[in-house]
Amino acid sequence: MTTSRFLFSSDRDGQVSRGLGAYAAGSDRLPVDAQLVALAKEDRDAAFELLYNAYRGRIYTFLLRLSGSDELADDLVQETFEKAYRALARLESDQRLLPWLYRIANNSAIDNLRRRRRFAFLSWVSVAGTHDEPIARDEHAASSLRSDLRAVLATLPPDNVAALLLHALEGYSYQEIARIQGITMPAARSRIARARAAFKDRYEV
Amino acid sequence: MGDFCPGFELLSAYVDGETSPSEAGLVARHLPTCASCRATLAGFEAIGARLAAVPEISCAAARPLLSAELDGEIGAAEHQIAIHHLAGCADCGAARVTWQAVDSALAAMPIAYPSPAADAHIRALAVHGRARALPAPNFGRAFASVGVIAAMVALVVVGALQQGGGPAPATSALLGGPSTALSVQQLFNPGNGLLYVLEPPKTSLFVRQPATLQTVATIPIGGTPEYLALNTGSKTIYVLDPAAKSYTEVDTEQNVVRQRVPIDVTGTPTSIEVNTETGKIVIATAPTPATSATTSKPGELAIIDPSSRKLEATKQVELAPTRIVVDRTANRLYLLGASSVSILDATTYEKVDTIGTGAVALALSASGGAPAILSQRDGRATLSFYRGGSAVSFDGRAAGLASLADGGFAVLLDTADGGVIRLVDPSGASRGTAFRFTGSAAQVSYDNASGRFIAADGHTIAQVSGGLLAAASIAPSVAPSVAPSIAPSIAPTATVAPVPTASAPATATPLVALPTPTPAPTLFPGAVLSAVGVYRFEMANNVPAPIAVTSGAPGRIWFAGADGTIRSVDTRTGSVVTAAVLGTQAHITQMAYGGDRVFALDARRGDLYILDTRDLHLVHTATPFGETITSIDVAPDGRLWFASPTFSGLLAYDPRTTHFDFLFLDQGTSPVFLTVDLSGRVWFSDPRHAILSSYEPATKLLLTYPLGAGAPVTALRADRNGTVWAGTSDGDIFELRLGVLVKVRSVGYPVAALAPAGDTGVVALFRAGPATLFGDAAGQLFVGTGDASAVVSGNGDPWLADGVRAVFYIAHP
Repeated sequence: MTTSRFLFSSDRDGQVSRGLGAYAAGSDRLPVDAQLVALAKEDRDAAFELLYNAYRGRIYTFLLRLSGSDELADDLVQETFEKAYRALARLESDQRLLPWLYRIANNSAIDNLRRRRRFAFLSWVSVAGTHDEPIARDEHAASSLRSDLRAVLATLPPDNVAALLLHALEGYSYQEIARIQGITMPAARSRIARARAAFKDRYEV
Repeated sequence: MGDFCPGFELLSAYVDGETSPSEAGLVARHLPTCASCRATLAGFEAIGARLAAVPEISCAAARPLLSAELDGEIGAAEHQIAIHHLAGCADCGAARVTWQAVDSALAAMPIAYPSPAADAHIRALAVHGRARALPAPNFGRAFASVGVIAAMVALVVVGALQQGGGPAPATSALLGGPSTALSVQQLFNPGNGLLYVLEPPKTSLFVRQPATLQTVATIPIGGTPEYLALNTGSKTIYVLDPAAKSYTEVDTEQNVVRQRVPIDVTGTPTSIEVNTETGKIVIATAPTPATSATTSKPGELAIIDPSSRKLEATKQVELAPTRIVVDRTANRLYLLGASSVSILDATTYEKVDTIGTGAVALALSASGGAPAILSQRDGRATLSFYRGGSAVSFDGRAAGLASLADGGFAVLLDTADGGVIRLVDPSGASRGTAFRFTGSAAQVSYDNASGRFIAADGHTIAQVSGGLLAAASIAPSVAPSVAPSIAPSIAPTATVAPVPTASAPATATPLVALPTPTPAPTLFPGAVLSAVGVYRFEMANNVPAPIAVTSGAPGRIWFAGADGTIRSVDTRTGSVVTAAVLGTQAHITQMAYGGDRVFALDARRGDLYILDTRDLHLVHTATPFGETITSIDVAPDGRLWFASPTFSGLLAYDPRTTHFDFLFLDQGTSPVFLTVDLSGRVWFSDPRHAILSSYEPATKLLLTYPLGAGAPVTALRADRNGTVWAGTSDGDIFELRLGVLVKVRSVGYPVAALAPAGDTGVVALFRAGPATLFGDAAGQLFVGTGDASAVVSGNGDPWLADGVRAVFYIAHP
């Protein structure tokens, strides 16, 4: 909690006093994660409801962008939160919840996508633009820029896409991305760079 | 000194420029005398030069470095290499720009949510529907339980849609036929929500969005079409061309011409209507001079089957109808003639009654009262009622008649001084409100749906609000980005312009013309009368546009702008003072006042600023799930309540204890708008489920009020008297009386915001296409800036925050 005190001054005559100095917003966030973890030990169901309501949009969006299919994203979001529900009561008190959820979502998605690609010889790009193309429940993806973006993402290794998404959607640092993906920091850096390299030729600004 | 060499360390520091002035002087004096030190120094400089040379690398090697550099995740040495490469490589520069665009585009993609099935599956993991509390933010404190909601009680709001009219009369008024106009024919199609306008030169039918008057399609008709009729069932509009003796069928789903059908009649068609009772097309004809000698009856009805398009029957009638009006409720057809009105049974076309005076127009009552008949007698326009009421006459020529949603009527007249609109009660009593404008009333049509009088050039010139007339000057939308390529071929004309012309600007600037404009006194220095009843108050240059606004203690308004500063206006003097500087990072989206505190929320960052207005002590705190908060209000106990639809919950923050309470609502409930009444009861609306709910913290009782099939609530506010007001996307304002929502006003524009007014009541902001209207709940309505960000009450007067300019508009009639 940060406090500050300011003085009145007149603006109408142009003599503006900024008081005692510009307010510096504190970065002291409420320990919401810690509260939820504590609550989970008392009442897992209640904590889970709070967790799911708070983060379902972000986790689902990540999975939708990563998989390119709302059907698959639906499956993956269920898998993610089922795993989260089972593990919720065992979390450490300093566990940050959103990165933890992203880690579960990332692992679920990568396993699934790798498995699918091993057996599906039809590459995703070949179905783009045909009636077989998955129609995402994403009315905002209508613009050509966004659909181009989705088309390129669908051709890339999911590990690389996930790293780029974690960076672009959440602004996570390479260190955090490495932790979420269970890799080293240079590897995270390499994944993002490789994902971006694909956009050089295919994506017009 | 020359005998002592400075040593490696000092020489190294000397090369790097890291010596003190005295050390530098010592080395400088020594070097000319010592060849050994000079050689050592030369060696250091060579190493430095080699180290300083940045290696050249390939694009393939540079890309990963540039990617990391873009994210600020790169060491100093690598940074130098990457930037060095970038300086000489246009390709990599372009790639870097592309990556930035990709990052931005990904970040800008909206949040998506799991499907309802997946959502239900996940929620089934846990038990639903309980109220929970988060532990206090002071971590370690005992959990403060809000408690379990005791009961879910559903109250059926019977009175809501029945009292005050409700949507049903409005719909029947719409179905009553084309809106009133003579030379401009206009139809609202409730099937697709679009206006169909036949306006000079009538070779095309224009399809417009009623809210913006933007033309969405132009349907070429050809010939000289004059009249319109709508069949909602078959989604067809019929356009009658009397000269060509034909009608054109327009498909309202595709907005294309389906077919042009010749009419096999001997006389001249004068009017077309769909007999909603039978579905048949009825075309009235008058005898042509050639046929009149051989015809015993002066007029004829042609009844056409809409599917076969064949003339099914003709029916001779006792007059030459200029217009047909269908009353579906009474199963009647009214045929309007020059010297009488004939009333027929709509099924058999047999005459039921005759009214002995001619009629220019006839309008059915929206409240089930007697139909009103407008006729021209002895140089005056007379309004009378079929089987009831007394007649009232007006100066001028009868031009048109419209039925108002509240059961009253609007009479359009042409006088020597221009057009006039007068409103009368269902009984015929004048409401004492009239609106004059230059031009002809015959050029004006009335849109039942929005209560607007629209001139032939597309301008809205007046608006019925609260049973009275508020004059407006809303230009048709001219947004260039969405302007259709098939724009009307006619240029907007100035035939109809609001008066007084001397003071009325030509553009859609704030303007109000109430019955008798009287010079208003000066509000305060700086507030300039910009139109009748509306003052424009421009603040000093260094003040930004007010984005978030709240009224404070009497006579004070608080606002925040883009510069992250909270300021206060004295509504009596216009004096603006700075109260708190939050910093430019603060983007205040909502403000609320209560318990001597101003609460300012930056929802994007989840920051809450609390300003104590007694000593200007500022407190800052972070709000859990801040970015999901859509609405805030202060309870009488000083607590700030938040609605979070994505979180399906309500939050309460107590500024004294800095304690957050969380109320988790039933699954799927999305509280979007929230207000707290005088008793501390929290009201919130869920537009997805059309419900209004209340939560009483003292008893923990949650009540749910279904809103029926009405439009979603778009604004909710308790006034200072404790009354709760709700506004809807249909433009209706409801007041909660004894647990029942009662419609008190219908404005016809979506209610964007409500704010408590002085002692009692609310002020409201309406989105009216390119402009906004603002006013009080009593029905006074004013036109404000289209960029309005909020409405707030200052000393009882509605104040409209511009949102783009450092301006408030103040309605002070």
